[in-house]
Amino acid sequence: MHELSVVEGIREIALLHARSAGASRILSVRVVIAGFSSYLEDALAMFWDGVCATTEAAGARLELVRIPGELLCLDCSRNYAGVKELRCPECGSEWVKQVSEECYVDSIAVETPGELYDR
Amino acid sequence: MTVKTIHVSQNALSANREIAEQNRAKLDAAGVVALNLMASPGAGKTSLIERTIERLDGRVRIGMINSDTSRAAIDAERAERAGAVAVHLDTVGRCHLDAGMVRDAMACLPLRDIDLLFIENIGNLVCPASWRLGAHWNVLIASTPEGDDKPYKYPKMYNGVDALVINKTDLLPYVSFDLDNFTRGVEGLNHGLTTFPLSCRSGEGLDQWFDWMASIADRKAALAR
Repeated sequence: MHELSVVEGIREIALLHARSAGASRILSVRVVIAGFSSYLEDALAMFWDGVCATTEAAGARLELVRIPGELLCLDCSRNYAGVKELRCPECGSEWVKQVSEECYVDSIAVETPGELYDR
Repeated sequence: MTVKTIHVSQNALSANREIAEQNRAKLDAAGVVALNLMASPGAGKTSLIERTIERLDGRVRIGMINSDTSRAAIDAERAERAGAVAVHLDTVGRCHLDAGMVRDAMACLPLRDIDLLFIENIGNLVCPASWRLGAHWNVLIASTPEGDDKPYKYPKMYNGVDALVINKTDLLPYVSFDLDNFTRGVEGLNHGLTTFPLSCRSGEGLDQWFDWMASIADRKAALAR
């Protein structure tokens, strides 16, 4: 159920950027999730419409893109892409740490009232 | 009407982090040192808080934010009976605390009259690891009946904490808990982690914990003066 808080975070970020751009409506939000993340796409999508209702993000499409996350082996210092298996492919060590972000808002598409307000 | 794309590149939990930083600033301004206590259900979070309140009574003023997934304020009442000022936070089913909930709970506490604040997270070894609350210390309470494989199964939790308590050491003769295997797992995830093996029931090892609690409260008070 932690996906509920994650989508609330995504919505807050999207609203903040949309408002500072003077947008009237958010059309879509593109979110990138690292391969090693435990967040489930289905659960994120399930909560999305509900948390956006009554905001400028109502009806916005949530685009989820999963990419291999970057991990660093603390034993052999190798950087590698972690999808499901976190262990270092070089030396087999489990002493690894994540280097890339687990989940971030990449971009948003918004509608603005028109060129008059655009700068 | 114009459609445009705005590049954001911002972590999904950055809004939470921002509130966590504000919480930390409020705690610092009031001279409070806060601990985020995380554990599986039944590991002994509330028992450790109770023992600490009883022992440090009159020396360190203790506050507690308790959280549970229901309205039953059993743990907050236990802490109050032991002598702390406590507030119960009902997460209405949510599996972890986030910084916004802690901000609201902090607003219900007399922070200036508190030296040490325990924030008892939801009993869960998964989600609480991802949400920073603004506490100074993230502390994990493991317990021997859970088994020695937990660091291997919940790496994110073991990786992200600043101190570790191993509770229920009095049960070691009766449960399957290979301390060496457990320690190996912890070392791999969190090298040199400060660890307190203890038993809230027998009292074994509690003195080291109390000393640490008193010393972090004293250092905070010295800074705030």
